[in-house]
Amino acid sequence: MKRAYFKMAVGLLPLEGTTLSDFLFWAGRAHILGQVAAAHEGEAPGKLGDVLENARVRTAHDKRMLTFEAERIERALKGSGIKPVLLKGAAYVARGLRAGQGRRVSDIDILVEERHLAEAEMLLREAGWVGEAATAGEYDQAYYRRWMHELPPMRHKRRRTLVDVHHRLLPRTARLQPRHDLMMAAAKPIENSSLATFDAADRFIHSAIHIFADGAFETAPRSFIELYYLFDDLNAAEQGRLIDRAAEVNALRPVAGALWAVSHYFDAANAHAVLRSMGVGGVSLSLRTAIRLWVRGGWAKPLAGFALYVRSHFMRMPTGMLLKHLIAQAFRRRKPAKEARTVN
Amino acid sequence: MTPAPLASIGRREVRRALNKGTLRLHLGPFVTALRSSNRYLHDYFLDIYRDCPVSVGAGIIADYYLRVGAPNVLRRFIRPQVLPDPGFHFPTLPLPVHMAPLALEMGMNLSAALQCFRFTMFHAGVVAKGQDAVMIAAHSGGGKSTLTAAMMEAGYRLLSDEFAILRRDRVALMPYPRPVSLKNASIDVVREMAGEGALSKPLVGTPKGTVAYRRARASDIQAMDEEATPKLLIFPTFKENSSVVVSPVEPADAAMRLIAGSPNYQVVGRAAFETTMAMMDGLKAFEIRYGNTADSVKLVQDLLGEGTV
Amino acid sequence: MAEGMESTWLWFADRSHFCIHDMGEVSYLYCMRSGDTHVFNTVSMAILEYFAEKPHSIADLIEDFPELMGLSREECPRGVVRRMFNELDEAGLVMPLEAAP
Repeated sequence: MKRAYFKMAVGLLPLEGTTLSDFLFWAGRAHILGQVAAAHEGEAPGKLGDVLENARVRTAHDKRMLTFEAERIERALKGSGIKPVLLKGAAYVARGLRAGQGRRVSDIDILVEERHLAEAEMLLREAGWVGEAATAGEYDQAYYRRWMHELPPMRHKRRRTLVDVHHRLLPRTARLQPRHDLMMAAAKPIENSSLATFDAADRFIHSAIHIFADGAFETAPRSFIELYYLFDDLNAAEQGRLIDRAAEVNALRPVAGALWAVSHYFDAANAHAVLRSMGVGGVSLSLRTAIRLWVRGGWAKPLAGFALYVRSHFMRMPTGMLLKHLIAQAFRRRKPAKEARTVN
Repeated sequence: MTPAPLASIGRREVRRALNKGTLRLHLGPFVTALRSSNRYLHDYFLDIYRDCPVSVGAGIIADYYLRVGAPNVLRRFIRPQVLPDPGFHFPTLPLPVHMAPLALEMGMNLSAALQCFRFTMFHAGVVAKGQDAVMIAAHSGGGKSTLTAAMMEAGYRLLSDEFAILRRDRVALMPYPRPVSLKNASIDVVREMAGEGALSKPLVGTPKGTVAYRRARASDIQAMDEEATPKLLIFPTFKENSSVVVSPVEPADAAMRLIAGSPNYQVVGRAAFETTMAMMDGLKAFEIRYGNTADSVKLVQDLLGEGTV
Repeated sequence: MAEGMESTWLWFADRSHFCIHDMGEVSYLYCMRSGDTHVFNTVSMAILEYFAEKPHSIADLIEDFPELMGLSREECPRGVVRRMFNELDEAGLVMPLEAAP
């Protein structure tokens, strides 16, 4: 059922059959129609063609926006010597990867060394990015700056685009502490640019960290399609070295979860092989079950979603702090999210 | 199932399909999946959309998915409310349950305005005489909808009340002939022109005042796949008993005003720029001020016919 | 950004990034990189052309601007010229070259 949908989404199965309209509804809700369109180039008939064309136009805009924002960030930091690492979508688009084709984007994520953080923030502010309203309250700002792995999101005052400036991959308080320093050291510069990206294996590893160990969950289809493409783009040598590298940067558990998802939802033999080479204890039953429930949606989703949320939050903070934070959040007045962040 | 006029399908079957979410409205360039168990909506839809092609049954691909119903389980029964749910996060205030027709029309507008990118959309009503289209820009106090309805009576076909839908590959407007939305005083004006049977039952006390809808005619629906070329762009202002004032608008200004009122121009990108510019080259734009409907109709006819005042 | 640093940079506008539509007194310009639509008058268009012709520094622009416009130097305050340039920079219509190879 749903596993066929994952394969249809990346072009392993054709777009046809009695479940096609249901698939398109699922893909639309999961924000992956652009990626579906990218995986199925060429003229499609009738309404299917309309839906895919619509997604292509929208994601072409996102790609244009992302490319321009990366340029603007480079421009803002010009002359400072700061060389940010582009993360996630921005990196995939800059490198022309399949994981970046047809992708819906709203933020741009960059990683800088902690010692450059203050200067980066100042330069971005000068260039027109300002603190985002949703986290502008005093408690949120303090919380962010002290514990999180990134500055409070900054929004450009004219273009309304968001940039997240990270200095590590997970919050300081997270149970998992990946070696972002090693990953940054291995980052590859982009030609004719002061920007860089992680190398191919580290990109997969970071995606796994973000999806499995970070508190913010995107839709399951988006996340797993990203993992599928990133893994599939690794050559045999890179796949062979993946586990060692994951151990080296302290990200074995999320990478195991990622490999399991890719092998399970896409019948990817290569991912399965790498997972098996890890031996027993790769992915816990409870995590696998929660993921399955999350993917299936329906009535089980709220429970699974809550379990995942609590788990992820748990991964970010020691328990005492977690309680205090949740209480403070509950009593904070809910302001309407005027510019809702939906995907990144 | 091939789409057939709504009136040709049994009422019970239509209600069942709306309850289950298996009804699809095939109107103009869009297929909309509709789901609602609201009785007022059923009645309104069966009446005002009676000539529109719909399909009933599983497996039909849709552009948009719109549910119109209670905001939560509680509000199905306690002081029942209704709102449109277009499937993405968009804050709307819930309405009393009998205002479901308003929720439906709002939801249809939102669905297209915020999710359509294969056409460039502008906020304007569009009517046409033959191949020549007249765009009537939307802004409050302008009387766009009254003028649109009046032009229908004067023998123009309705392309759309709410959106001018411009193709990306050539300068052509696509019809999306949904009902014309009328407010307050204009309801009586249009009832006078079109007859009681053309209007839905007015809803009193909505956030926009009293609201009613003028049905798109069978002839408008039949022509729903016929594009038209924009020849005239009108920026209307209605002022009771005012005499007629016409002033030409510079193409550069007209373009700016149109683009400012487009929900998706930025996303559509280069194609939007090129076709919008080409469109401006091919039409004439005017501001008009008028004090009664008859004057405004004559004005539009003159401007279209002669191209100058 | 330190003014000292930037004054050595050269800037250029790449015409292949633009779609231009003349509308009498003004021109509409679409920038394919940014996706933005701009309205240019004769002055701003002249400045853009100046940087499209060949790369220049900001100092060059300030120096050449009066002659470009057929105005006297007094009529073209430095600050105003600078501000117009900044708008082009902010909009991503002009891009910096590195100062010296």
